[in-house]
Amino acid sequence: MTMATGRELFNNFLNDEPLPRPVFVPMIRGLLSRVDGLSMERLMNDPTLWANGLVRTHKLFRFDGVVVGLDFTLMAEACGCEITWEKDRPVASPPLKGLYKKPEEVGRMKYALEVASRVFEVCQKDQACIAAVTGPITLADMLFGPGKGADHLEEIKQLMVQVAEAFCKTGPDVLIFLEGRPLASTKINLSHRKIYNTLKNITGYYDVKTGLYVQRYAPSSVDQFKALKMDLYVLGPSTDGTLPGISRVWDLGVGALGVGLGLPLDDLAAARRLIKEGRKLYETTGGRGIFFTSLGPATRDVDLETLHELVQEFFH
Amino acid sequence: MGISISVDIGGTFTDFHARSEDGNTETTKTPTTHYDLSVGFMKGMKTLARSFGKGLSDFLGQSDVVRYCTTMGTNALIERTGPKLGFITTAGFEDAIFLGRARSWADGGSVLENKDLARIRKPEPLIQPEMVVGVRERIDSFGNVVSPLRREEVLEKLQHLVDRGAMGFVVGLLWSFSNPAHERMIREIIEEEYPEDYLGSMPVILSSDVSPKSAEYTRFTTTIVNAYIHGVMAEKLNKLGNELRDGGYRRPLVLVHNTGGMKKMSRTRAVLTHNAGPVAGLHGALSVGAHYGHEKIIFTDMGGTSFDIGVITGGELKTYDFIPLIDRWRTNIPAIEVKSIGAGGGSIAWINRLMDNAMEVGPQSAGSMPGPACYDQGGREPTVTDADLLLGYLNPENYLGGNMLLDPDLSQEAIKERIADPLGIDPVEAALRIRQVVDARMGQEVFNEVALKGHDPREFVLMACGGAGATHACGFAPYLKVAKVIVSPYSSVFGAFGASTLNIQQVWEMSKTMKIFQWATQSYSEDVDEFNRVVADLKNKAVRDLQLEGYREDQIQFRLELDMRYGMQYNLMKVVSPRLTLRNSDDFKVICDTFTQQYAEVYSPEATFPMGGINLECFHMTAVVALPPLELEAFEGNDQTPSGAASLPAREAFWASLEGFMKTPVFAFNELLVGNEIDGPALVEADDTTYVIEPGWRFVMDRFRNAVLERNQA
Repeated sequence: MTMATGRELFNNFLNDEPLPRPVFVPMIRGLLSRVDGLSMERLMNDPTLWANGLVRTHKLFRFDGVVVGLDFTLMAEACGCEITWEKDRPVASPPLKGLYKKPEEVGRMKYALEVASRVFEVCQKDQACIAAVTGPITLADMLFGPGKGADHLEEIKQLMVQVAEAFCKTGPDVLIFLEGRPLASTKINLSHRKIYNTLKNITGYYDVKTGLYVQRYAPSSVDQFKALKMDLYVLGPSTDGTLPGISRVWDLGVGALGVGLGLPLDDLAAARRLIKEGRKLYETTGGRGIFFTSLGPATRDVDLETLHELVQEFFH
Repeated sequence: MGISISVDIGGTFTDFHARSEDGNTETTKTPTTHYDLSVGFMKGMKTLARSFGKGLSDFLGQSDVVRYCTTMGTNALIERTGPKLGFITTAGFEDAIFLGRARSWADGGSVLENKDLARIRKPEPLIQPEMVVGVRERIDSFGNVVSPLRREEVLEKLQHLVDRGAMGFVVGLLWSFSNPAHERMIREIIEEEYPEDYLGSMPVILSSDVSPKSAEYTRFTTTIVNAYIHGVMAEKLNKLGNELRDGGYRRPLVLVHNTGGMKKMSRTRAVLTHNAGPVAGLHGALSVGAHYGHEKIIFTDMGGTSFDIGVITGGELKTYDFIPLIDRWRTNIPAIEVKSIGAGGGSIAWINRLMDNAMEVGPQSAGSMPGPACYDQGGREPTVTDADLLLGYLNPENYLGGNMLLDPDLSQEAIKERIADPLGIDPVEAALRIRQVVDARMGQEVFNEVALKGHDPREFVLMACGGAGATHACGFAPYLKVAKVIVSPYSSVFGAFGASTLNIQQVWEMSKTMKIFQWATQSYSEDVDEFNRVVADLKNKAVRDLQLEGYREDQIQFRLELDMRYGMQYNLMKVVSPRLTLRNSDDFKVICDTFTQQYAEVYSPEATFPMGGINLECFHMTAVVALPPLELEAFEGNDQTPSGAASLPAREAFWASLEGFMKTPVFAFNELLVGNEIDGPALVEADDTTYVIEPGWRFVMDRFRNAVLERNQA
């Protein structure tokens, strides 16, 4: 009997079928530059280096899936923000000359789409393929200034539709929208639901599931994200940098396909504890509704030896 | 027997119907994914699997058959994704396919395009003029070789085509249906030059194989269209077959044909898959009608993109299109006639500035992407669905069983901006006009289709199918004055349902002109041997083919149809031959009498023209392996009044005859019982459609759980 591939297992998760073993799909971003010995700025401005780096890193650790596009500033830049690199991290400042009309054809977003297309083509036989793009609520705040985005959701709707469609055409299994404080710190309202409905309609047409990644939220407000009715949820670090209790994370996935349980890749002990708790949950649910990921995008500060040890423990 | 699955791809939605051996039936719809049809196909399979409470691999592993009405071939023609082909024909006839028939510039164009004589163009040819070569040869109409074919010349012309990048060859010579020897010689030469083990090996398709019938233009175009879509379809269907196999399916994929039957994909000619979905729907209507004893049925299917119309008389499918159009090409395949017009839920309403700002609906459709404005996928054009939503007929929270949330604000915005404001009217008034225009257009087309075939529409039962059929039936039925409208519970996936009622079937044809009645001598032909020879030849081909498909000869039933006409007339009429083989000239008389009677029924007895004599032009042998017929389950009757569980919250809906919005009762279709009656105005919501019962109409759920809509006599 052949071993099921990461993609087959993740598809079980997406089809609400039991997984014979837990799946691990960490979100790798800065770690790439560590593995490849190149700066993120250089990697993200060369689709060949970027794509090869992703494939190489995932082969190195044998993760079950690959995530492309993990950068809040990608979409902001594509819509017209100025980008400056500080300590090899991109920083976006609001656009001065208005919004671009075709974000999918601009700068690093164009590269990200090319990388997604290349990487998914190569990886889709064995690995789950996930694309990620900044969510509309956070994007609006990045474009129009903190606290001012809510009034401009209609303006960015078409831009989000174009980019979501462009990512869907690269053939991912899931498109995850990345949201930060702008969504996490407000109460979900009708305008939030409407713009997410539009995006879900687009992904639905391409048979791509939609996910929500949120970070910098108050642990007590996690339940409200359910109102967006996404297919799956992934929680990043909360305002205090931790993950809420596992039962609270699990509750978020009830009624959806499930949740991604984030492991702190730089804290082996905490990760071990979460794996243990997660496995218990996995067993009680018959292997449905849960997969493991990283607690937020893995940066270049992650210790490779620790990560390697964690992966070894996870799969054995 | 396991699960039987049928799939029908439409312009907007892909429909699925599955029935397990215990009678459990599930249906679903997914948006048609034009960028890759297999995506929507597999998505529907996953949904069906969940409906049966199974994983995909279990579901497909337990499935006996997957029947597929595909539009891949049509798409390849529209998108021009076929290969570069070379065409080899008889010298002197190189331009035949470019000259076309008299009206080839109008074939396949919309009414509006065809009126625009200054801009109308012939279709861009599938084979460019430099890819056509003529070889000197000639066979006469009796099949005698008049001028032999020269191998050297074929090789020379072949090289010419290869040098220009031919990726396949179509061979169409004069009178090859009488004697295919020269066409076969050309194929042998090509196969010798480019054997299968060479990388340069290329397919060779002969007109005498694809279409052994007279009339070279349609024979050539049929063969070219078949060759053009063959490779594209084979590649995509193989990919789909692999996906199904990876998913657990272990049987061959079966394709539905436009001749009213189906066969394994591996034994199907590409050209026979065109328009298969509507033909399957028509067959479904025939099967449902048989349960009521209805022999005269008008079948309509209002989907998202098109409105299909078919006519059943005498309890049979016997209306054929003699030269059916595929995209913009006249062919001679034996397709059952189903007319399509561009009117559906996704049809776009627009203002025609050239016609004094008249509002028109269709033929352009918003399709599945971006779809109507209310789908909230970026579409901004107002459609029929937007109008239905604005008028309160559709529930935005319960469209496709709640799987697609509609946004009424976007409908209002689109209708206001594109229709209401330019016309200076209220958006609701504009929505009402959109609905009335599309209903009138459909009603008029159906009336024409039935009346021009010599029938009185009032004698027919109307079957309203398609996702939007139940929503508009009361709107277009009055144009026909039919007594009864039947809406099946599977109406929104009726093409797929119809496919599940089909038999294994194929048609074999041969052109052969015989004068079987001479007016001057009042005599019938004595040449029964020639007639029987052609019949035996066709039967042998059919038996061999179906045996390769895995059926025994004693399972096969034959039906012989003949194309006949009066001498000196152009139009042919297809007649079911009362005899399969003939004993003497008296049998020819029986055939002529059948023809005369049928001709008189359609064109009136005064129009018969025996003075011209009677000709037989073409033989069509239909071989059928009958599968167990559809049995609709009948239920016991209940109270006329729906139970409380069937009542949903009433909502505001607009009724033209009542001149405004009114709180309208709404019912859940799944909670209605056999015998329940509902008087209009009312709305009945099913998972995949909404029944709009106009004031003056009555909805009755009959014993088969079909909805019967009738004029309320009270």
